[in-house]
Amino acid sequence: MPVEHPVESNSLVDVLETVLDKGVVIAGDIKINLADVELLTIKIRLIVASVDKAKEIGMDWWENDPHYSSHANKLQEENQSLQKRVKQLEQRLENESSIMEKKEETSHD
Amino acid sequence: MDVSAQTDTLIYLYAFIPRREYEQTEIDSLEGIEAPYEVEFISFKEITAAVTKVPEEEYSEANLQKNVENLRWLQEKAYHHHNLMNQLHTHFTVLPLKFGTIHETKSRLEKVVENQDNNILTMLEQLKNKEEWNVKIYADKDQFVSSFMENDSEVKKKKEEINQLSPGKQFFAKKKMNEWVDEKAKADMISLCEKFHEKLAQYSMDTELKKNWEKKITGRKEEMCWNSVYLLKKNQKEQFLDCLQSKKEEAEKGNTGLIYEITGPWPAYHFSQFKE
Repeated sequence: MPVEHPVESNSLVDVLETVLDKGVVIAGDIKINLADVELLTIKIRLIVASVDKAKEIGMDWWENDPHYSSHANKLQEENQSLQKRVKQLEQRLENESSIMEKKEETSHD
Repeated sequence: MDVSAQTDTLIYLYAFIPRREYEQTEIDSLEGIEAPYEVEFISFKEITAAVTKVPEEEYSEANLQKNVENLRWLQEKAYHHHNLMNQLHTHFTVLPLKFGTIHETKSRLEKVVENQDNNILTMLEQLKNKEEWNVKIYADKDQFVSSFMENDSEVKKKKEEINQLSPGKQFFAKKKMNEWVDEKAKADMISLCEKFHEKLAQYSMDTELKKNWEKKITGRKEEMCWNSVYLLKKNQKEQFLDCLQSKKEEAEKGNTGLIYEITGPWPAYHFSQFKE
């Protein structure tokens, strides 16, 4: 059976999300403010997995997030302008191919 | 041991358990959240509270706030809370408290138990012999779409239609079809998950749908497309687990692109709420 207690690092997220956010809430005498649990979980994941490991599993979002990296910003701009050009080209192609087909049809007549 | 004897400690509350179960069960000593303090049990009329002492220095409001902002500290303590709760759960019916429930004195805790007496007993009764399991479904989207393309009859028909078109028209028709396939595959994926959920729900006493986590939380390549918890009777969980296991194998063999993951048994964190 593949069923185990959820204690391995791959269920770190489950553990944090559950014990920090679920269970009965009873007002104790000590109040704490936990930041957004999702955000905490992401941050703790980053600590637990070393940066290299994080990259290996594709968690290098800060490098691709324009909010964190000017390099990503440039890439995003480039991406947008390329997409625009592709669209224009596609439109032209579509127009031309329908003109061609019309021509073909009339020449056959 | 009397928890309130020392003035420089506070009381960290893990869980409530039925007093009767506590008195009928012998358990080894358990380490508390802060060494050298161990887990202690304080019995009230019908309820026993699982607690441990914590030094006031570290757990006063201001200092605890600093501590929880230290992510290494938070991770270690959250894990302790989780492990301890699992240990309690192997022996008793457990009503788990959220992490970080702390009282100044035993008499303050007693007040809480008095006020919530009914709620606690009702919940303990409901959770008796039950446990929680979590099921997540991830989708390898490329694989899901390609298996969908191979197997869907509408796709086959569309492909044949496209082959009849002129090459110029084919390009755009294909583009349109791909967009259609993407959407149809997505809808198909959701309905597969929903159907499977309904099946699992048949074996469950209660269910709760959770938010699908983003990739930056899961750290996985595959997209999470289902996340749900189930409250099961301990003596009926085999059916639930068998159902999952066969689904898992079916998905792996069929290369459907869906990945089924299960964790448990958990104390019933998601089903531990007092009714207003």
